[in-house]
Amino acid sequence: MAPQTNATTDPYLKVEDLRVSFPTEDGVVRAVDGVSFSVERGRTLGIVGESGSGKSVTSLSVMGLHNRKKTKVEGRILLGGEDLLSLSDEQVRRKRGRDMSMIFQDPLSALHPFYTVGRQIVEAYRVHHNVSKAQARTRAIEMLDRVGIPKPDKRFDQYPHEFSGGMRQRAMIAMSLINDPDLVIADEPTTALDVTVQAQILDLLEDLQREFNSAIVIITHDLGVVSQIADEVLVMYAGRVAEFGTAEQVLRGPQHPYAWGLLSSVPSLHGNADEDLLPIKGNPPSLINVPPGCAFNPRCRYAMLDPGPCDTEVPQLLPLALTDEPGHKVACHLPERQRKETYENDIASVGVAR
Amino acid sequence: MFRFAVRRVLLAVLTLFAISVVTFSLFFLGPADPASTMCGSKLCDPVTHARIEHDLGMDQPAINQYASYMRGVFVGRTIGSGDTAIDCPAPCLGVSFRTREPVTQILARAFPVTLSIVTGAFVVYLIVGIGLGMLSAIRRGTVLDRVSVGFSLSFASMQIYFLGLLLTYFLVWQTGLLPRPQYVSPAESVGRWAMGMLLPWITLGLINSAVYARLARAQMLETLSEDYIRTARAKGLPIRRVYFRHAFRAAVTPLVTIAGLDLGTQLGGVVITESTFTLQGAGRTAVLAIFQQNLPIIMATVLLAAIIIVLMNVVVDMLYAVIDPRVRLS
Repeated sequence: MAPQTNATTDPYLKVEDLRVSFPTEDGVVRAVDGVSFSVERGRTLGIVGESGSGKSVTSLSVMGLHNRKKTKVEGRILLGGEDLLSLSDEQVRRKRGRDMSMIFQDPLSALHPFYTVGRQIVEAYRVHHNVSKAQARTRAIEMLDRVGIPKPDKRFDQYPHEFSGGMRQRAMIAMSLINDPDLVIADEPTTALDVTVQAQILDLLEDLQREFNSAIVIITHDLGVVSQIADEVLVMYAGRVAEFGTAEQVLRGPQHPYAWGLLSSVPSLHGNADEDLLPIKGNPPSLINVPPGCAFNPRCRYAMLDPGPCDTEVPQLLPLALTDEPGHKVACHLPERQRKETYENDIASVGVAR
Repeated sequence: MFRFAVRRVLLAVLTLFAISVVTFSLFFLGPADPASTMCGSKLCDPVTHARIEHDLGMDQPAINQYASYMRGVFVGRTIGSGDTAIDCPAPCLGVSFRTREPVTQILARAFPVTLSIVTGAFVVYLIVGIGLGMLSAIRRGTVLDRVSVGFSLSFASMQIYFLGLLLTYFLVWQTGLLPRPQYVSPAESVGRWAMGMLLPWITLGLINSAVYARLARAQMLETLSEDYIRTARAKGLPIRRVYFRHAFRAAVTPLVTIAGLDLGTQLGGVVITESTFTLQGAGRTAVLAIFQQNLPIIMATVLLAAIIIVLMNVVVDMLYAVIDPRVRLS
């Protein structure tokens, strides 16, 4: 375990070689297979990937919200230097909501329909603070006001169904930040919202991050969200890291064909939308039966097959050698020079990459 | 909320009116010939037959018969004429064709029996059934869950008379732990009332528990997979609070509807339970009346059952609005 003195300089959340698997009737699902990343206070990491790429499982394992009996979690999850996987259920519970909190995708289903919004926020505060109901109420109204909910004292006594989608997500954010956690995990926080509201919510998250100086992990499949809010980006595919780098590095000069695919499948406002929009063919693989070698090889247009190595050897996540991009890592067998050429010729001219 | 309640009650009154008309037509205008039954079918001469029909008001047009029936319900009436006239004060539901006893009295005797059986069993199956189901869902896959599911399966497929007689055999005849089931008014002795009712309570309670355990388990499992349960856990709430404050409240809501309607149906009479333990409740009274073509009693038991069911519907709707804030608005 890291010495306590280093805690301030160390990243607040450090995930090392995380492996999550659970047995099902059809076989063992390897939802996360050797993922490492870290986030410092005041920084935002975007985890990007399709459904079933293991991004949500990663966040749930960090929060300790996975099914403990069925799920096997290996590796280390260091929160403020303490390995969550070595703690008891009760110790992790005490950290949940206080040191790390979560914002969910659909704020309507994530709030209890039978309790007022205020009561739910008060509950979140009082689990971790020994204060009177009145004090908690004052604090909750303060938070509702802080996240931009008008007339917070009135809204306090309303039920989730009386809130609009955006307001609900604001209330959810107020609830997760009320204990001033050092780590906030936002699992697709804008997916269920109107596009116009999405930007507001992201702005709010950025504002609050400056104020509370928390580390944020934002899970999304929306590259627009990543470009707006993330400092670093982790691209996940089939439970593994495909690419990692700063938002600038990954969005401007992506190295992995999967990242190219993600970028090309975002419609552009310029030119011909039909021609520009190139979907990634096929579906993400079943995590019970991951393709051998690079898990992306069946869908990769550039895969090097017979004689390998794309379908025989799992590519390692390695830093770039030719370009001076510190921290930019990719897990791909293609030679770096060829990747660079391909990107410039095929991808950069298409869609949003322009 | 107030307007919701008023609307609901008005609708209930309308429903009851419709039910009274339909039941009345079905039974009083049907092919049954109560006059023959009353004067002894074979020995009956046409004059007596006609006199009885006249006494019963059956020679009147249907609409008049219905009107005098309803008048009886609200203000009371005198049935028959001359020496055989019976004064029947409101709420008059007619008199038994057989014994000439006012039906209201018969019901006043039978209904408390049913009420005792049903409410006691209700308490048993709410506590045992819902408790077991919830626990089973929380401890899903454990021995307790399997035992509970096994319990549900075996008791749900058991018949009341089978379980009832089995229990009577062991608890009454073999071991003498319990007295024979009998109805003693709780006004007389609460202890003897409870002792006399214990066997029906256990029997009906256990069999219904099985059904409720299954419902509660399914409901709870569904609720536990809801997003707001994950939110509650993400807040760091102790798991017990997650289960009881968040999951239980949501899981029990649909059960309120089912339990309320069940209670209503059963209060109208639990024939099999009453018959198994030879208790003269509303259900048995109704069945006997049907065999005897005793129309006023049939009519009264049907109406009573209808009133209770409609009433329970209103109660359930109100309860629902109290439990679920989303109902209040719409």
